[in-house]
Amino acid sequence: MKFIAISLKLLPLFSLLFMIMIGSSWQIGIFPLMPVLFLIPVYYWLVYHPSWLPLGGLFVVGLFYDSLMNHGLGLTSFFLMLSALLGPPIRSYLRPDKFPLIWFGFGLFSGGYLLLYGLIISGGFTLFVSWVNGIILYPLVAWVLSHLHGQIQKYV
Amino acid sequence: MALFLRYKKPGPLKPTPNPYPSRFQFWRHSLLASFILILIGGGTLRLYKPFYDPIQDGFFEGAVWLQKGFLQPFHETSVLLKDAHHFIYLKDEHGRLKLENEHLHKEVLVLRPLAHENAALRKMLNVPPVEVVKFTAARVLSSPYDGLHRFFLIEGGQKDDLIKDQPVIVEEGVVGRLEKVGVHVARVLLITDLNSRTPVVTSLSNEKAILSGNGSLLPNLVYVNDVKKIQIGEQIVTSGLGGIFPPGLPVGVVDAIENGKIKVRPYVPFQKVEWVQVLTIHSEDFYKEINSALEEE
Repeated sequence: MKFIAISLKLLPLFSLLFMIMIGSSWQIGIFPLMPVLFLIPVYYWLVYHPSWLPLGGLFVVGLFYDSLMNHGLGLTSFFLMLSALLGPPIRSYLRPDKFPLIWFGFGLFSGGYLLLYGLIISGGFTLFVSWVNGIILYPLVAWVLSHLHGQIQKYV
Repeated sequence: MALFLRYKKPGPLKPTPNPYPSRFQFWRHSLLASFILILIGGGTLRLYKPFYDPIQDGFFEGAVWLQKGFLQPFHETSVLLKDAHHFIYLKDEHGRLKLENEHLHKEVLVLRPLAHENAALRKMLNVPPVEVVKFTAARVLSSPYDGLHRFFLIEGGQKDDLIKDQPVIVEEGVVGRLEKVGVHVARVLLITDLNSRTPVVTSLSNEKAILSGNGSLLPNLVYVNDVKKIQIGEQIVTSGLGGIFPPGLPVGVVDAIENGKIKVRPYVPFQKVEWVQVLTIHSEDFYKEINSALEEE
């Protein structure tokens, strides 16, 4: 039973990996959905259940993303761990029942992340469109994640 | 079930077993401490190259295989659907291939005497024989794209004798070159990638230039001697300089010239490519020499 509970608690991390694997080749028109698409589960779990996103797990997911996207190993790990570190203080300003506020928060979080990301890898307009696409897609992905969240909470 | 989880008002605080945790417990549970520890550990490993390189290679191989395993069912389904589609139009396809075969047969009849003539003239002029180009076909596993870096991950690596910097092409033209070669998988740096530089020449004005990827679908033509000579619609082919790409491979056409900036539209439809061909033109030593020279630079 304990094993099942631990496995279920790993599902948030797997949701991140799933997003990276399935979304790495996706694009709307000529604009890619990465990296903003995998920021949705990161943000979701950091807001609703940060303890299910351990720092070590984020580090490994970051390494996976960097290996796949041909970045220097550790760049995304650093960003993700920084997000996890900044999550708890920012979380106190968000109210889980106010969805527009959470959505707005995602806009700020992903915007900040992409700004740093763009500055380091010299990104431009493509990243901006990717950010807008991510904000539009947030409710859909968050809806799926909220159901997964509910199921995990039911059993754990 | 509700669309989103309902907000629950936090209950009264429960007393913790130890309200005054020790310093060790504080650091053990501190996110900041873990962050600093991982950063120091990771940073140290990052700087030590003999340790970092095998880790990077291992992660690359592992990440691609994990993604391949995950995407395999989707790929199989897509193949199945395509097969079903081909089966429906089998008769039409047979007719088309028959016509194409007849056309190619006629072409061979015309070309055979020319090849003979060419060989005789080469012999008379003492031109060295053309190097035999070997092809290795490889399936595209996925094409990750994050707005700047665009590349293909292909099924083929050191076990198929692939070496870094080998040119990769499809029927339509140049795709890119092998940037990283693992044991079973390799990464192709596409000509549109931000880090890609391909020596090219224009077909009409005969201007040598460098095709510089910028992350978009339309790479730029840079280091052109005289921009005014370049015409829209002009074909761009590889120049053969640098030794990686053989001369004359089709790359694309000049799409637009705005404020001295020349945009090239590649021939290859990158989103539709499923198989690529890796060319083996030079020996392994040649590529090793090129790699070491580039690393020294």
